[in-house]
Amino acid sequence: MNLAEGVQIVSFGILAVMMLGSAFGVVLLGNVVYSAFLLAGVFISMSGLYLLLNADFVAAAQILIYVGAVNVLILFAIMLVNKRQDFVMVPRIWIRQVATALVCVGIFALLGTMVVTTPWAIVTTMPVGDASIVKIGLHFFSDFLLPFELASMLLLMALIGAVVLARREFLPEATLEPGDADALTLPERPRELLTTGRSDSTIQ
Amino acid sequence: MEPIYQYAWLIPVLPLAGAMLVGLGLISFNKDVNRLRKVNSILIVSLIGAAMTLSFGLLWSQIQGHAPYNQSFEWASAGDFHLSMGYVIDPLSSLMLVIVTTVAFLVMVYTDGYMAHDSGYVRFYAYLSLFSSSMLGLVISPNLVQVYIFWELVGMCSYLLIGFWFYRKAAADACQKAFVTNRVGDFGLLLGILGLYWSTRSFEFDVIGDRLQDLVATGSMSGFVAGLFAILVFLGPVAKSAQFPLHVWLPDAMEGPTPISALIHAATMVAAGVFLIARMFPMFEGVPASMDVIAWTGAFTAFLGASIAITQNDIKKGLAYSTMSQLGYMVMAMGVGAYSAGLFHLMTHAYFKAMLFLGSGSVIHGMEEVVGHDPVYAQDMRMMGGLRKYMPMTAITFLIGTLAISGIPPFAGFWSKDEILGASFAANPVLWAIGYLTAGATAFYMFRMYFSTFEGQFRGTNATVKQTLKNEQLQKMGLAFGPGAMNPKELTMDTAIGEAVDPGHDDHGHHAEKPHESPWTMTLPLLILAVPSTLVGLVGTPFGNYFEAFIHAPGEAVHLAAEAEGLSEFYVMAGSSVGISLIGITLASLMYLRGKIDPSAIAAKIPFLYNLSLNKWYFDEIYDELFVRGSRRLARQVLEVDSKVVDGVVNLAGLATLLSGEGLKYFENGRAQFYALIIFVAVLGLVIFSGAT
Amino acid sequence: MDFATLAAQLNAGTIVPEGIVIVTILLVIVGDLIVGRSVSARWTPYLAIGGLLLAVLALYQRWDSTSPISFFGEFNADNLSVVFRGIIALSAAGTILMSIRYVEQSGTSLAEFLTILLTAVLGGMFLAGSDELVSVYVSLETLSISSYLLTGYTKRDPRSNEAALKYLLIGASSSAIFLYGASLLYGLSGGETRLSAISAGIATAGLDQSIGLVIALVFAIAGIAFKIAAVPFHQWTPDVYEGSPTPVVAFLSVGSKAAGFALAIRLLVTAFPLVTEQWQFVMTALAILSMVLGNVVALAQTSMKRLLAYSSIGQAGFIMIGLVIGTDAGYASMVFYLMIYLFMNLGAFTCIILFTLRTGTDQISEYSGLYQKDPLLTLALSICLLSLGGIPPLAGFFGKLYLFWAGWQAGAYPLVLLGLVTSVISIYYYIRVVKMMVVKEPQEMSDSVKNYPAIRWDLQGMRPLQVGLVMTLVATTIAGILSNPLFTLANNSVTQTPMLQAAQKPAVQVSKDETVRLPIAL
Repeated sequence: MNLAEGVQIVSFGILAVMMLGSAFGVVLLGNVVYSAFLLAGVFISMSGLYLLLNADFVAAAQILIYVGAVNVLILFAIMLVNKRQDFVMVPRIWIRQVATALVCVGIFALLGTMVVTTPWAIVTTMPVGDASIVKIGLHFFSDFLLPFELASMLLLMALIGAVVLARREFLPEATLEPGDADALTLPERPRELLTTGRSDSTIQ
Repeated sequence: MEPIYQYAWLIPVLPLAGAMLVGLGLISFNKDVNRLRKVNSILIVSLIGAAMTLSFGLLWSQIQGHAPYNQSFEWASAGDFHLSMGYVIDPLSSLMLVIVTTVAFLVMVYTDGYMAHDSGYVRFYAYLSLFSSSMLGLVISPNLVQVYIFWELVGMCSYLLIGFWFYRKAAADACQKAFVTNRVGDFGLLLGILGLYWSTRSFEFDVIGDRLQDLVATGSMSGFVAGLFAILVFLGPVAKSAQFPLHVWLPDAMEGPTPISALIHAATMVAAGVFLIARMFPMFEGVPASMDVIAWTGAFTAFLGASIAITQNDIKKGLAYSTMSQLGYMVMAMGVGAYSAGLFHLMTHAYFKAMLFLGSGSVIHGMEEVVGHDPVYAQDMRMMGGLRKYMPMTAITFLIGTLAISGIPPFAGFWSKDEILGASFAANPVLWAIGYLTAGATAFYMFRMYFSTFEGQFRGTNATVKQTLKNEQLQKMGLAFGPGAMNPKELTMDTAIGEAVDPGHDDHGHHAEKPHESPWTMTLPLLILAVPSTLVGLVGTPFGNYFEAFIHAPGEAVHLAAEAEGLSEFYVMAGSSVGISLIGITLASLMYLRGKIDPSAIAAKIPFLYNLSLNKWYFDEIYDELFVRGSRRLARQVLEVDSKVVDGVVNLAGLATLLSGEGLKYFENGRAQFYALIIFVAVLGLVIFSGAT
Repeated sequence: MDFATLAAQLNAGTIVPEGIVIVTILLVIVGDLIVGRSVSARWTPYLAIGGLLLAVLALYQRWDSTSPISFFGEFNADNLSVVFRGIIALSAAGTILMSIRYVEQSGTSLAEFLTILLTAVLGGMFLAGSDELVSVYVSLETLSISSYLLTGYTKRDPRSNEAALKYLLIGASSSAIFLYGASLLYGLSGGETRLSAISAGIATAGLDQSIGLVIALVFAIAGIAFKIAAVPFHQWTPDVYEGSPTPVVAFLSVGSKAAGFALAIRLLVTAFPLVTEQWQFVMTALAILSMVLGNVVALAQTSMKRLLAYSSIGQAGFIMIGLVIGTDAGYASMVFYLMIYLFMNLGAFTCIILFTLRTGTDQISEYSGLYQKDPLLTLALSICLLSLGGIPPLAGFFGKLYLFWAGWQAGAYPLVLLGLVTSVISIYYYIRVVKMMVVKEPQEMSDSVKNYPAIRWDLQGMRPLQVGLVMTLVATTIAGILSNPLFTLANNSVTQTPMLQAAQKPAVQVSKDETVRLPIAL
């Protein structure tokens, strides 16, 4: 995909403004649902940037994974919880906000300086474009075989972990003594309950 | 005979295995193991028996002239620092192995009778076995580091065993006292070892001696520093062998069960100091100043011990001071260069003193039948008397031991003591004079002990004597606490303990009228020990000193046949020392057997000397004032510092807690965000700082 | 490239130990699926331990392998990685021994716990040998995500939830930072991902003193420091340690930390030789902060798990001494200390798990008078704590001695002195616990100890706990005195690793010729 330079610059400008605007919205807006939707905007504009760089596989993956999966999951989570909670004002919140802002500005300045001052070795070869999928596939099965296969173990474990966390436990009620609600909790008593000895009213 | 050398490591390992087995059993299955008393004791006794057999084999092989055997492996190395562990079998260590294993074996057999009714029977065997193992490890150690490790181990066993009846306040105190006193000496020893390593880069005995002499000879190290190291090393033996000024723990250590007193505090561990001097002999020899210090310390201790023993009424305390005095002899012998004479006395003393202690244990065992399980009554000689009728075996063996220690030929003690006296006369007549006087005092106090225990009338049921003792004890307690330090609670606790609340030894509510002879497990070891006490001296007579031919200082040539000139000298020396012993015995018999001279009248005439001796030269009081009170004052000041400084530090820890995010629980909002913020701050800061460097 | 040549080039024999772990994972999952939860709980843990031990055996066979590089330079199975992989696998085996009863008692299922734990081990083992940025990152994430899941395993306990969430959030932040650093490296080196090629690439691009490299370095260290819980990236530790199931804490403090150190050595030595001074400076700062803060804050703790959390921060600080001095002896002392730390820390955790299972608490004050009721537990915990404090002649003493000695030799005097001072502080809080257990009179016994249940080893899952207790106890006791094999192993793992030998600077060699003097602490 070869666009004229002018078109590239204009598209970059639009995408950058979109991305920065939605990113600020994610952070600054009070309503979490708005934040979630704006996050999708950030992801989509980012995939646009990838397209401009001729990385179409990454752009597609970005939309599929981040917008299609991660962001939808976030929205589901928000909707399922469905609990409107007012934002509690923390005393002297401004101190934190100022501190956070300072740190962010500092890191931005640092990275900015770095990007500007470093004489990057610009790659001069033509981007492979549509052939990138084939190339990625070749890499996966030759010199990146190990992380590729390891990722399968990672996913398997993540699957199992998700099931473990999400499944409803069928506690063997008959074997439990009445009032024994300690199942699936740590054997250590929480600190505040220690004074009253082994408490049967718990934690739930 | 090679295999026996290759398996020599089994000697310390066998008792260790026994101790481990029983100890693990006690930890995991306390009740069951405690029930199997006999099984445990038989296991441990047979293991030490096996070690004994092996030791005899080694000794025999060494006597046959087998070359010394040295086996070592690398234990740790870092760069050019090498530390090896292993064992060495030479005449000295093979002799020590035999002494330790035989005494340990007999004491263990004896223990079966002595501790029969104690609830800690199995634990006691485990400790005994652990001690034997450490002691055996000590004597075969080829270098100073290993010696130091086993040195601490035997010390630890000794504290465990002194404090065996930890519910008795006196025992707990004694165990602490032994611990603290020994720390002083061990610290010196450690400093000395490190200093020697620093200067000679070696832990091997002979290498240290050679290199140290080289260093002093070439002038790269001043004689003063060499002497300092030697004295520091000597501090170890001073504490362990109860030499002046660190002797105060030994008499108190008699609060432990009697078999312990016999094994550890008479025959083996306390002799470890002498053994170490012998091992380090090449080094000490090269530093004449240190030899003088050793000789004079020994002589003074010998005299001190004897002078205190004269007036002691507690039979075990008396024997303890006697041990101290005899150890003084050995140290003096080492100091004047009489290497083999010192070790010879170590051997004879190990046998006859172990026998004497076991005999006293048998007496106490018998007395407890009559007066109950209170050490105040059961160990006091004023309650005894006439026991020969009731306990004939004990009496005869005790008499043999008394004759041996008094230096009456042909018993063992005569030969060794005489050799020491001869050597010290050659070195310095003043040393000889002290030793000579001490020999007379020894004969006197030992026979005083024998007469008042076994002869005359039995006084155990005499109520007035009992009352006197009671009063004395109360008085002593008041005295010990002193004005100002009196703590009423402690006092009541003490009297309660004075009543001997002893869960193991239940009083059955009735006392027998007469003491009885102890069971055969106790008398048999006594009889067996009587044999070496009588005869072992014959291997080292001046007519044919086989002992010296076998064990002599490294690098010293020995002539087996005594020269005629030496013999005539011997007759003079021997005659005079037998003479003074006889004078001592006669005095003792006049005072305590015939009653011709009233000892209390003499005491009344020289109250100062009498009190000096009775109160052990006031050493405990002086130390109490100097060190205990002093350190209490120091501790109080430290406490003040503690309350100000350490509390400050803990508050600072609180501050650090706050800083580290722990304190955030007081804000309790947004911790995770805050943590993330800190991470970013840290990243930023690190980049800035490391970019600046 | 056909399949046969590909297979030959892969040199896949180097990851046989990891393969064994994967097979074990699959067997555990499938076995649990077939026979059902209650039956599988009887044999899956032993299968898992067997698998791990087999993996250790396979590692042993791969010691001194002639062609350690495999997967086109993705994985480097040199001796250093073998040692670290062994430590990680053994720590997991020890963790399983202590977790059987614990998981049982908390009512969760065992097979899934084992699966996740073994996957964490897998991630850690790959991390120890990864020689390329993508594998490093994937294995790091495998380890991290498994750890998050393990942390939240007792899912109905709000403390566990909180811990997992915090761990996840902070872990994700630091992982993002690490990834940013990795991408910088990729860019600076002109598109290289292999660690050894990166530094060459940067050098040819002439960027060896650029600020970008320093930023990449600090970002990478941030990711590593999070794993080894070095101050100031330690914030998660106390909360996570307190809220997680205790066996998980044991694994995090030993296995996960060892993996972090393996990564630290490999990444810093191979990818950042151009900024050695800077990374040593940063690690020194982290070491100082960790030693001071970890040990000081531990003084004020009342919960045993939190105490061990802070103490493990301090211990990480000690280990970092070996890293920053960058000599052979330094790396060897790190490896040696980690091996010893494995035993003593696992031992301590086994003890507190046992106490928790019997009394339901981990407050330090509740331990008072334990000696009267359970001498074995008291003995084991005392030995392990004293060893952590570095009391001779226990193993920890020799570990610390070697670390400090190596530091002293390399001329890092202030660091070593600080280490000595802070280890004295650490002795204070370790001894406090021991004193609490041993010295207290019977009437001062805590309520928990008064109600101490009868000691029974025949309940399900107690026997392995006992085995673990005794084994760690024995190891902690004798590993110091008989330290020579471990010592040789640690030394060989360093001297026979080409990467570390190539990195030795000439300046370092000079100091090695000096006379070796142990500090007078013998």
